Amino acid sequence: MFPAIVVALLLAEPAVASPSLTVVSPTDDALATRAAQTPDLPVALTVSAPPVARPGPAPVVSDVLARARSAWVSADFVTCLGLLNDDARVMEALQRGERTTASRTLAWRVACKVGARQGDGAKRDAEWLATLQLPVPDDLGVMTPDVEVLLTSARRAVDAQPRLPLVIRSPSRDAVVAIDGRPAACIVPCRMELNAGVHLVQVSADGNSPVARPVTVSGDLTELDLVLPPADPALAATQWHERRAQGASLDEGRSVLLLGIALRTPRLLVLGPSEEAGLVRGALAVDGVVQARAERDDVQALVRDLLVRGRLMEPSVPLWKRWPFWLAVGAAVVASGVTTAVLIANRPVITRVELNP
Amino acid sequence: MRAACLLLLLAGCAVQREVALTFGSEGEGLDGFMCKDPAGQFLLDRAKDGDGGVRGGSLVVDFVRLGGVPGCRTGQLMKWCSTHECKPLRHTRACVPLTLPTSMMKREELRAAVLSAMKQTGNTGVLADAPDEFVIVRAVGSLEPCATLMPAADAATLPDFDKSQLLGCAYSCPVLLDRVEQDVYLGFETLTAQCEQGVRICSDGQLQWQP
Repeated sequence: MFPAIVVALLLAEPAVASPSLTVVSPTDDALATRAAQTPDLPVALTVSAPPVARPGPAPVVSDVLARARSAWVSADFVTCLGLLNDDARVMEALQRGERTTASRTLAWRVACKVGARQGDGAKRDAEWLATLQLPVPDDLGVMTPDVEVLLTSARRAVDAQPRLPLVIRSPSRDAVVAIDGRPAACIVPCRMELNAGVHLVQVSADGNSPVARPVTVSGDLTELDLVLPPADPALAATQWHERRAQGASLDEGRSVLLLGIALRTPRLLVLGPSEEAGLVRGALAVDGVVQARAERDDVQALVRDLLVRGRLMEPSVPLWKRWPFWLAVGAAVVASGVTTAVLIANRPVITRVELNP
Repeated sequence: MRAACLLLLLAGCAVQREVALTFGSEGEGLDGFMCKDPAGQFLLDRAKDGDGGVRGGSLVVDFVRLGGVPGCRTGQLMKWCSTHECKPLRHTRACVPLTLPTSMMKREELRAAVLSAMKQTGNTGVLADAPDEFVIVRAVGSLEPCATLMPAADAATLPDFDKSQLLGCAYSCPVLLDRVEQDVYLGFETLTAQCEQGVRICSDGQLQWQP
């Protein structure tokens, strides 16, 4: 019994699953459906709907600054500092790009520390505000002149210091660097001059999750190497929608990469109408890399074209490259030769007979 | 379609040949025209009329279908034709008016005179397209006119020779005229001058023994 089972297993043909390919058309689902109906393909085509963008983070509504201001008015500096003394609050505001919030937080911290006679702490916060190059908040008008003097002198002192170099590197291609909540400053690898002190470095790239890192700039050279983790599908979907909103074409490399991550598929076929009327345009990506782009008037022909160019399908062999063709040609030549030879050998002979005694 | 065109092309390239019938340069094949009857009279003398003149006759050329390829000797042909149909092909008969000499001379002079008379016919066209099979070519001299010996348009068979009017006969070996590469020699096998019986057989419609 056991040997029979072994033999049966050995003789059984292994089940070969044909590779699958996800077809998506961001603009026309019917196009993807028709593409998936392409007959006689060595891959299974699965239609997928375009990914849905994750809603952005809700704006942070906080009354901390208002409460701190009330505490300062009431000369309750302990409560005020209890609300504002955490540096993480400044960093979070910078990370959200809310430089005014960060500036107000630090300014009120300075005011509360001045009120609480924490001169060193107030000076340190004033210098940090200047180091971050944050705008002076309008709240300064309601604070005491001591605070305004402290902030102004700190700004002057920081500006008098030489700026120090910071080099930021990342293996992620085209990663964008933002410093202290400002919009994109440069693309890695990049070098910039900053005031000495603590800064917030944010690096983001399509296909990756952004990273924010506080860094203390000091000495002759400060270097920062950041590795961005891969984006999760939801983030990739959001990034894809952002790129599309910025006018990226559907078969543009980075867009296709994001779409592949968002749809969780290693093999992706993106289809859409061409700019030229009557044509369909598409791209085939494997593991996020576009292998082929093409444009055809028929979507199923386009699918075949892309699969051949992407080496997922053998091109159809031309007739003259098939051995049966040459066999037929050879047979035809031989047959023709034989027929001709027979005809020539059997050419009709007309013999005139005459009497010539 | 292409095959048909090719065939037409090849048909257009048909080989044109000419074959001459001859009795030999010295008339060696004319023994059949110098036969005597059992009474010792030359058959040629049948052309004499009562006034000392000579009547004209005809030379008939037939192409005899054999249905195979027998040997060339008379005995072989006779034996073959006893079991096969050896009939002249109806549409191939040709006839030339001819006046042959009579026997008032020695045999060799008679041979030369007969040959000379034969040559008077010139290079007469006998057949435009020879049969595509083995035949023997037969030349029969007769006092009957061509009008009698040529078949009518609607006749199914060839007219038979009047045996009493025969003057002579000669025949070839079985030959495929489309392939032969020499002149076709007509002759007559006999060991004796009294060979009227051979002329009868030679001129017979079935090449059968004639009593």
